[in-house]
Amino acid sequence: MFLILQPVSGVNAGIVERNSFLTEMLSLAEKPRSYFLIDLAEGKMMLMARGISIREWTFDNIRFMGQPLPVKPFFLESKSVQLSSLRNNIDIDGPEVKEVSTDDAEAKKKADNKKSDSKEADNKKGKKFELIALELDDMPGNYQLFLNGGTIINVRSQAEGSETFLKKAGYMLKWYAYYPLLAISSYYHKTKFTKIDMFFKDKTEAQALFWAFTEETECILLPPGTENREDFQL
Amino acid sequence: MKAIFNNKIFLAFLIIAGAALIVFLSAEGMGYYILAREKAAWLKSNASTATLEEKELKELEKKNEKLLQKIKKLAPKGVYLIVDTAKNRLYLNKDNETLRQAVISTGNGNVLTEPGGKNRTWTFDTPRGEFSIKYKLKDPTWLKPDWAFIEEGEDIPKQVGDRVEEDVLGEYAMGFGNGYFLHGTLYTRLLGRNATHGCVRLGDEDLEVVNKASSVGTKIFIY
Repeated sequence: MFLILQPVSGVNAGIVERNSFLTEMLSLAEKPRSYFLIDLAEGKMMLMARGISIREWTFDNIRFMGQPLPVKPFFLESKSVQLSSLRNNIDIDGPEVKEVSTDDAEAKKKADNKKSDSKEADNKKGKKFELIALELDDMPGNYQLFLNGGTIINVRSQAEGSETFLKKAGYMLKWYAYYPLLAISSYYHKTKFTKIDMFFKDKTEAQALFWAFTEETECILLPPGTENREDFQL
Repeated sequence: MKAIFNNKIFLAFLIIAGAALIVFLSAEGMGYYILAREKAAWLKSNASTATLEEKELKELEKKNEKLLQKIKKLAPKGVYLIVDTAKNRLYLNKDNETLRQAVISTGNGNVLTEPGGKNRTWTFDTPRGEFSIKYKLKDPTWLKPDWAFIEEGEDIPKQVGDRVEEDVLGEYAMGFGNGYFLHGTLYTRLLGRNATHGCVRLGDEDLEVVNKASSVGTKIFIY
């Protein structure tokens, strides 16, 4: 009697890998939270909920170095910039609130009139009004995302003005000179060392990613190998 | 020139600098070697070394199909809403197709602390995650919460009637839990900005469309 044992490579490897991919995707899709699918080969990142993509980012460049990661959920432990440090505290007696209050008072008047024409009121309203809020523009365009297990994702966007050369030089030095030295250290100390670098030309895309990727959000990183890409499709 | 090379200090410096450079370049080379090995491992990380019987492979294929069906079943049925709080956009979707895109206002992210050492704090964020419409209201009335008075430096009223404010939420309101609503607004010029205390404000026309298209149970995905 023959036992047909097949080495799991090529097409068969796909079946095994697809099984682990689908199992992990199901585990995330069952939760009432959104999660990310980061495709290192395609240079894409998808925000997903219940198995559907609700927002997609495409990187203009992506690099990675260090130890390979398994296809399993990781979560965002922290970011290099804390959102709480960007928030405004409402000063109840401050001038900003007075401006908002003026707006509120005007809105109340409109409500009292019941037939208020908001557009007209808007035009009449002084140009002094300044909205105090945490908005997309306040988000950083360059930052790091620290995943559990020691993986670090650098998110960068096009630097502006005179910063361009210095920032690029600093980045090159770090990536091509410092990280190789760090790799030796992690090899000898058997610590995790995985760095992923994502670059956006459009700064607002990097900012939107910062906004959307909140602490504790889980993600799955698809390996950069180009074989069997269809195994990682839903 | 000869004098420079005859200088012992300079010579010692040259030797030390040369040695340091050699050590640095060797370390870099070793680092690159480790990284190249790891990169190769990453590119091949899909390939498992285990062996499986043909029968097991077929079972695995069936399992995969079942898993895929399970994931597909989790997708929202019919109409669902996606709220992008960064760009202040709402998407009315049906079966992966966007039927309408609306410019909205969402939470301003500010922090309000109650004065007088009471230590109550509010963060005016629109909550993120998966929600569903719990109830729908026509001509809603706003029952102002404590923070609305504190923010304006007013005393918190003792009578519920003093909290009532009419005609500020538009024609419809759709509650999605914990006091958060999709509703209309008088501040139309703030649509597209983060201007609310956590609710999602829509313009009149968009509110009408969203209210008509949605029902109790309609899913809302907020990010």
